[in-house]
Amino acid sequence: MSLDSARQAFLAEVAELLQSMEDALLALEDDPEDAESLNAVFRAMHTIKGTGGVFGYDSIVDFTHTVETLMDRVRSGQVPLTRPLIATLFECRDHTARLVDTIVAASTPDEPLDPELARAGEALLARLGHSGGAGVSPESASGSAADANAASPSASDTKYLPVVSDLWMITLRFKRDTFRDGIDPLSFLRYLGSLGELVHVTTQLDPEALREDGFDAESCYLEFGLGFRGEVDKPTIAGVFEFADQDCEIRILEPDTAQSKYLDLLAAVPDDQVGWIGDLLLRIGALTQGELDRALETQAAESSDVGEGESETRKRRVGEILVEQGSIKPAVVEQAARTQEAARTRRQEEAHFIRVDAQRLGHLIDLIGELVTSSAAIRVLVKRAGVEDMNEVIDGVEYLVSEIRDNALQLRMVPIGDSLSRFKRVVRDTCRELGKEIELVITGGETELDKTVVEKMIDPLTHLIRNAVDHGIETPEVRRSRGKPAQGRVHINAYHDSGHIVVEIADDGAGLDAERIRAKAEAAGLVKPDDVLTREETLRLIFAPGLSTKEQATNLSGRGVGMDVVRRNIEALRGTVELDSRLGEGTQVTIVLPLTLAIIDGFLVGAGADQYVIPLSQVAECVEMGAASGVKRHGEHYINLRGEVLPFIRLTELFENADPERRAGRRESLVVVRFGHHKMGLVVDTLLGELQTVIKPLGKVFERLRGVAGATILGTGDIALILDVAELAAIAEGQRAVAGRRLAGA
Amino acid sequence: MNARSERPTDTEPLVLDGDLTIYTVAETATRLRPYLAERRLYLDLSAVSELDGAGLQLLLWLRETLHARGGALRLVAHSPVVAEVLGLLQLSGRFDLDSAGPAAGEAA
Repeated sequence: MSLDSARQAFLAEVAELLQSMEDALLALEDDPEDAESLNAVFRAMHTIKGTGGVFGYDSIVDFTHTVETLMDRVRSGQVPLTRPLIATLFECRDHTARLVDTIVAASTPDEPLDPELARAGEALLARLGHSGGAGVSPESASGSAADANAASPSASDTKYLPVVSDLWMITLRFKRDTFRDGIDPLSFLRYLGSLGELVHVTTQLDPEALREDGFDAESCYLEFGLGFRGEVDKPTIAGVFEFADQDCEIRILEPDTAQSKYLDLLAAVPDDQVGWIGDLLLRIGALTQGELDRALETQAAESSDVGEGESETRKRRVGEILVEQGSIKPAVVEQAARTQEAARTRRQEEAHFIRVDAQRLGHLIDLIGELVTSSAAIRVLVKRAGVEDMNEVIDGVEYLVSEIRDNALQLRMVPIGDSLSRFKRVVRDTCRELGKEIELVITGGETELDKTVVEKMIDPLTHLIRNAVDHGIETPEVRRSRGKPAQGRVHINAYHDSGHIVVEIADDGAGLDAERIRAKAEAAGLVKPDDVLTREETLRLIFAPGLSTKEQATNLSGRGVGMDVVRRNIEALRGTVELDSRLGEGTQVTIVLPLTLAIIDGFLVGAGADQYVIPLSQVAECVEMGAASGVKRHGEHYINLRGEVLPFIRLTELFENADPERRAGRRESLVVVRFGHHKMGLVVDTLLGELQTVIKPLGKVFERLRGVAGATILGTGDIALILDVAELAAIAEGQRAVAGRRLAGA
Repeated sequence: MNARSERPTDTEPLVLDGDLTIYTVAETATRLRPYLAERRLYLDLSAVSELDGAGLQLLLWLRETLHARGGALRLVAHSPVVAEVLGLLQLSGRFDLDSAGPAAGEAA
């Protein structure tokens, strides 16, 4: 791997880590106790530090190290996780992103850091130190721990402290004869204290001592709970109490930091040596030989029929016994087992997953596009040559090509949720700025679509969500006065619908005032005062370019901001935007996009001298015009299909390309297409069947051509236009509106 | 050895002196038992020259028993030996060592 591709991998990793850190921080805002998320933040900083170190990016290491250290203290409960601290951590995340970008972009790692960036980092760290300094001091922490224990004596030795900690938790219960055996418990504590730091000590008496006349001054009732910090391993600590073995029940629980050390060690164990958890834990020092022996004894006593081959059962049993006898935290056994499992799966995943340059994938898909075209050409040639035997082979090839196509396109499919989760941050930040309370709900995040489409739709989506948050949803006060819950709600929903992905962005905000839009549009000269517009048409006006200036936007509750840009972006992806809004209730924007930009299944039709491709996923049915199948002309622009009135377009009329040689009276066909809720008919001359269609974009010259989404090359070498059903629907509707107005005028 | 007064100002504390260890605890316990019903017991430990686990346990027992019966124990004075042990076990707070006698500084 060259340094450059290693750097790319580093960047990708950092992006992923920062994303997970962001998600974790968002989760922490809701629940500051969430240990999982705390760990995620810690891990993100920790891993970036580690990898950054490998590349020698010292400033990244320095910065992330400080954040990591703070997070460690938060995890151990020394620093409370306050909202301001979370906010600062958000900034730290952003700063890390900037640092990484800047440094990796620089030619050499030694290049001095941009002073401004360095200053920003220092300021952030200073603030971290400040909010960290306000933390609970160890003394008061131990004080409260002691109080808690005093309130419920004898609970401490069975319960593990819930806080994540870097402390060894040691519980000692001395037996009655301890003093008489000439042993002074204090001496052990002093000795342990000399090995490190006794951070917490809770001392209590067995409740028996406090019973009426139950106290014998020469018997020992002492119980200690110790929180110990030191650079020692478990056997060393066990060694301290070795002398008291007969007089004392000892439990030693490793700190979580040791736990993570164990996990690292566990992960580093070669696969062929991952077998037996007891040996494994012993090897990494999580367990003492004595503890293991005891567990094994118990195990042997319980059952003797566990064979050598049944390592799975055996592993679990020893783990259980070890936890039961308090030698080890359940989490370590669980996590050790999980780490083993994860290590195994990871090894498998490494074989399963390959990071591929998106460009290579794009190239592959282009080639498959050519292959599709070529195989169509072969089909045509074979047909022309009349070689019957070839047909079967051609069928096979075409089947394979379409499979290859589907699989290749699948490679680029990603769940949309990964990209949507970034909006949580957008909403959160905007809420902060505006003093609003908004909940962002994302559903259908697992819906997959082409990565290139995802990337291109992020901008318009961001725009729409900003709009919803900024202008759609009211301030809590206003909401309350309108009888709505103070917390607003933005809902993003994604789902698949006939070869398309539908993304809905709904808010329960103020909604749009159709009358004001109308007034503005008239002022801008977009509509004439005597134009009759339906409510939908009026609402659609905000997608018009003329309504997009900032000033008007505010007047129109802001919805006009760049809505024309949104529409242009979406339409560039062969998609559509629809908007529905009720004043005072909210707004819903629906975006419909094709799943992929490259290759589709098409339905080839002939009209006039030309051939056209309709996306197959949008074809509902084909009916012969004029046949006695209930198809009746219904006025000039409607057709009555089995009682359903559909608008229709005759393609030859639309494209003005009627074939003069065509005999009049020859039967036409009606292709019923569907788009979202709309259905309409396309009248064509001939139905030519299905084909795989490689979409070639039309050049700039044809940009303004309505109803055409692109072109494709047929097997014959001819060019067919790919129809844009959504636009055709709009055209049909326009005709109907014109006709309606004409009717009204007459 | 009068510790009956309710007000701290004119209280005469109970004085324990010499070794407070496994060798003396039985005897000391017998001495302490009559005071277990006190609302407030003042203890002067400034003359304690040795304190081991058994002695510490005795003090703890005294405090807890008084507490359980609604009373309170106050140390009015202590020796460095006492401060060292209470400091080690982080019991200074429980025995309110800071407000008691000399050598309070060592407690933390």
